[in-house]
Amino acid sequence: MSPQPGPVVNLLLIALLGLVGYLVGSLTKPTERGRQSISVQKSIVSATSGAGDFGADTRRFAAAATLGLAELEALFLAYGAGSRDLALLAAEVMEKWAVADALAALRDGVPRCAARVPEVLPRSFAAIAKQKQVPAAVVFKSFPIPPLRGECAAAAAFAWGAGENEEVLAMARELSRQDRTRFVREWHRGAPETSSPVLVDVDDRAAASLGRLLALASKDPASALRSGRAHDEFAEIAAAAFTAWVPRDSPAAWKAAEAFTSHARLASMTAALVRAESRRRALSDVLPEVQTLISRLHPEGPPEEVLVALFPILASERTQQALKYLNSLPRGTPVRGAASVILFDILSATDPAAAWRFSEGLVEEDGAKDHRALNPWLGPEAQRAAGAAKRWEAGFPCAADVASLLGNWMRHDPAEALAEFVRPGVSEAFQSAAIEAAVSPYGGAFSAEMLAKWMSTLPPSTQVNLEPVVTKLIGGTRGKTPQGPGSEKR
Amino acid sequence: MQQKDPTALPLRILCALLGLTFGFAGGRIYGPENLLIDEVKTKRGTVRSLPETAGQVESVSQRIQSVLRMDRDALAGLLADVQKEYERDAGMTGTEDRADLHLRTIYGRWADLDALGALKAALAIKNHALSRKAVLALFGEWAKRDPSGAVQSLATLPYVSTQGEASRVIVRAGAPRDPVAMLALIPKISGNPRSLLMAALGAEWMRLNASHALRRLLAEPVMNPVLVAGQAMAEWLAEDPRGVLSWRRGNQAVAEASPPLVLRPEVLNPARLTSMAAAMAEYLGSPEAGLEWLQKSMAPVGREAIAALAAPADYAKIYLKEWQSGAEKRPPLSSLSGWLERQRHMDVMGSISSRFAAEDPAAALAWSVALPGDEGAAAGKAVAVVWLSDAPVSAPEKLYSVDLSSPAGRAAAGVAVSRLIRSDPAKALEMLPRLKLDPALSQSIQTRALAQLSGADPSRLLEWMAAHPEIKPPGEAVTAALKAMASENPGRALEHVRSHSAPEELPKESAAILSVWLTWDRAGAIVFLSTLPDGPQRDACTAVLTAADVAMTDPYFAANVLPESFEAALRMSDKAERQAALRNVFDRIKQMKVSDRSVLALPGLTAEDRAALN
Repeated sequence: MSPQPGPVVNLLLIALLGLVGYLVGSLTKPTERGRQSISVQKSIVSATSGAGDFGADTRRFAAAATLGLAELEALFLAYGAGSRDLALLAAEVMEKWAVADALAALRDGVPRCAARVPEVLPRSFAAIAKQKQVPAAVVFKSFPIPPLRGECAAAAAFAWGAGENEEVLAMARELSRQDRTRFVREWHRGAPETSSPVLVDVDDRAAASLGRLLALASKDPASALRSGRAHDEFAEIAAAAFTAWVPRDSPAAWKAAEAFTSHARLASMTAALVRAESRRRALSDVLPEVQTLISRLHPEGPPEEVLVALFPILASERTQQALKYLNSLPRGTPVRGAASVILFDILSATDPAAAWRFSEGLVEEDGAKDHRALNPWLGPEAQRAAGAAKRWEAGFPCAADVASLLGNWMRHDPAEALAEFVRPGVSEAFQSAAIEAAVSPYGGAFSAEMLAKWMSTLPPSTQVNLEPVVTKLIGGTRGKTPQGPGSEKR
Repeated sequence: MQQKDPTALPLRILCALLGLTFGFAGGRIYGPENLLIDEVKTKRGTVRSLPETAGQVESVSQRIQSVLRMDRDALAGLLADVQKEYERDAGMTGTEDRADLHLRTIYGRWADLDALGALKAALAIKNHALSRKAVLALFGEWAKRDPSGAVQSLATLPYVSTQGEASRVIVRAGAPRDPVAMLALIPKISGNPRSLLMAALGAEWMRLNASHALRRLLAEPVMNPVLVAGQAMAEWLAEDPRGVLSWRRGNQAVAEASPPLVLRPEVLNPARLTSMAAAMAEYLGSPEAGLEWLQKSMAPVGREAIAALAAPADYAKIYLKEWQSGAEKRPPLSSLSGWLERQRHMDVMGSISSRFAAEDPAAALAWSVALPGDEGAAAGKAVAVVWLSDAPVSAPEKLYSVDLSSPAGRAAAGVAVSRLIRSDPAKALEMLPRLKLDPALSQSIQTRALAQLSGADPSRLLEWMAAHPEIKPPGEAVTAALKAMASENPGRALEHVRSHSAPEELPKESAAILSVWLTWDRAGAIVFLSTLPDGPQRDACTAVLTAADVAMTDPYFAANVLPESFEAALRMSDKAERQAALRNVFDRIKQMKVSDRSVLALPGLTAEDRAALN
């Protein structure tokens, strides 16, 4: 056998030993976690020079076994106070810090977070309360001032309940009535099996019972709905039950509601079902199915409670779908009337232009009367107390509805609102109302100069038409017109 | 013999070393990582089952560490696990935040690789709430890298609100890098009015250089730059009150000339309010001084925020004094601006009352009772709502004994009894006469209570009706109660109808009972029908029977019940109704291919009826 030529052997050697080297290299390669735990401190310090690197910090925090004051301080330097980025990252730091050293997290972390990123406090208190080495009394003293106090106490209460820490229930007496009710409820939501003898107050007992029902609602929604039928807070119980049930088995949840047909709680159940469904899927995408489900429960038409739940969802997804649902309700019925009022109010707050078009459509319907020049209400309180059905009966939309719409529109998008009302064909009464809303401090808060500036951008014929209206309201704009462009470019 | 090359051995050793060195380096750089097994699995497209134990719960967090090494498939796998974790932990503390954190990290990487593909994946997420979060996370990350690209894709978002939110996210995420460029981009952004986007940009810009941002915003050719700048500064104040107050301290001249703050309710939450209160006390000396400053610096819109910050009892006095002192200058309620002002006033009153009731409900009620007219009603209602929710057992008794001569007292008692209607309508009915409410309100509460009782406890409604013959409940409530009763004890329901119903109501109510009875005890219902004398009651019940039988789709049952139904219809005394019922049943007999010989041979069938059948 002839010997192998030198270069071939050399190449084989390179290849074989290269492979061996590769394997050894891979096996001894440091892991991502190891690398990041080494670099965690370094990178945060580098971040102090300006804006933080959110992705890098998230990855580093996920890799780090413990986090603490140094990381928190570095975050405060790198991110703007109160920003969402800071809140998300600071919450992670506080949670890991609480696990490692809850007392230090409470002593050093909580006051710093309260000053820079208070949003994380409820979650931080929940993490600290889970750690048994911190005395509950110390945690209690660290709760922030109201209105955040109640939220923090409730978050901690759930953790204490889960740990069956009964001593805190006695401490809850220090809280205001509202915070105390919430605290007791959350404690029992965490410890649904426990019945504490500490609770002697009747309202505390009621809060405890609601807490247990809410805990049951997420475990066994059907039982919670049955048991909670007579409860004052049934709507809350239904919301908790369907939030848990709908993602697991939506058809069963709707079927369960059918058992409540003719029961007065049915409307609350349907509203809770609609809200739970809207988290799972876009209702405007499945409108026919939603219509069928609702009409099966309410063959005579959806009650106001259901419409109040459904319309904001549809309108926030696709305004057209909300109108489509309204048009599916039988014309001339009280249900359709109440639904029109509810939809108008929602659009008025979220999409005033759509609300205006909707109101135009209502007065143009066959046999409809235009009530927009009349106000049948003695004041806003009376109008609000009347409810949707009575508002429809009293004549809808009325001048009060137009006033609310214009006020919202002027705050929301004055350029669009004013452009709509200076169109040819709009009555002088509406033009006058629009300009009044523009100058009202509770509407657009325009100064006379701003109004003059806007007027100067209009065609001369429109200016001539509007001049009497403006003169009546603010004494005219001639002589006040400033130079330069004034119209909002959209 | 071949001569040995003296360089051969060193060359071989060199080659060996070269191979080892490069191989090792390659392994360290490109080699797989033992801890990235999850990632490898995901790359193969396997979706792991939902983690159940605490140790496994960490997996998404663990895999987030290696997100920079992931390709699109691996990111899609991780996204699927984020969804599972999100759905599993729904409602738990921190779930929403954790999902946001993970999505931001995932989409930070995905935006680097393929932003359009990332958008497609975000929109394809089955869980609608998570999909919305994912879209917003993506647009935030995308705008940091390529704001123009993100803006161009806004129009592809299918939902109005997501488009609006995403446009704000883009503006805020793009602002820190180059606020001036972002300002120039705003006119191209759809989904939100320009003024709102400018306010969002301004809030972010002010963190970097407040004086410059303010100057630029006030010089912008928008319709109301003062409102825009006021909104921007108020948003900054809500997010970073210390930043605002510290800037004001260092730039007093600019700050004094800055526009009034316009706090929109949607930028406030308890955390921000608490932070504002603490910062104002710290920077301005005391909470009172802070409030005074806020009161002076704020536009009339958004006063509810002050109500939420102040000690409610004190602020209630200050606010009402101010409101009353401005009465002469106020436009009349009949004018549009007067209406808007009054509306805002009611909102502020509601906010003060709710805060007051949360701290000391009894004092809040006493305060509201002293208020006149609409203010009193608004305050009383708000106090009652909060108190009943916080103290559901002790509050009602206190609210029933309130001074009913005041608007607040009447409103509060009305709220209490309305609430009672839902949980214990019978008790609400008992309570109502004691309250001496306004007759119209009392009547409406009674109607609602009766309707509620008919569903919740029909037998109790029937008992109540028997005990109060002078009160006539709404017809729908009685029908609903009778139907509910018929599903358990039709005999008792019929007994009630016989003894309490007006003769003209008897047919309708008996029919309502029979309609339910037929669904669970057809034989019993037929026997009852046979006992009825001829007349309207029997006709109404027979009509219910025929309608139910005609609706039957099962051929076996149809063959049994339709002839029976036909025979019953023959006994109807109203000729038109009889013929209509006979025809309906006969048509159905033919449709279901049931033999019609027996029914056509029935002795009661007249020639006129036969003619109607054809």
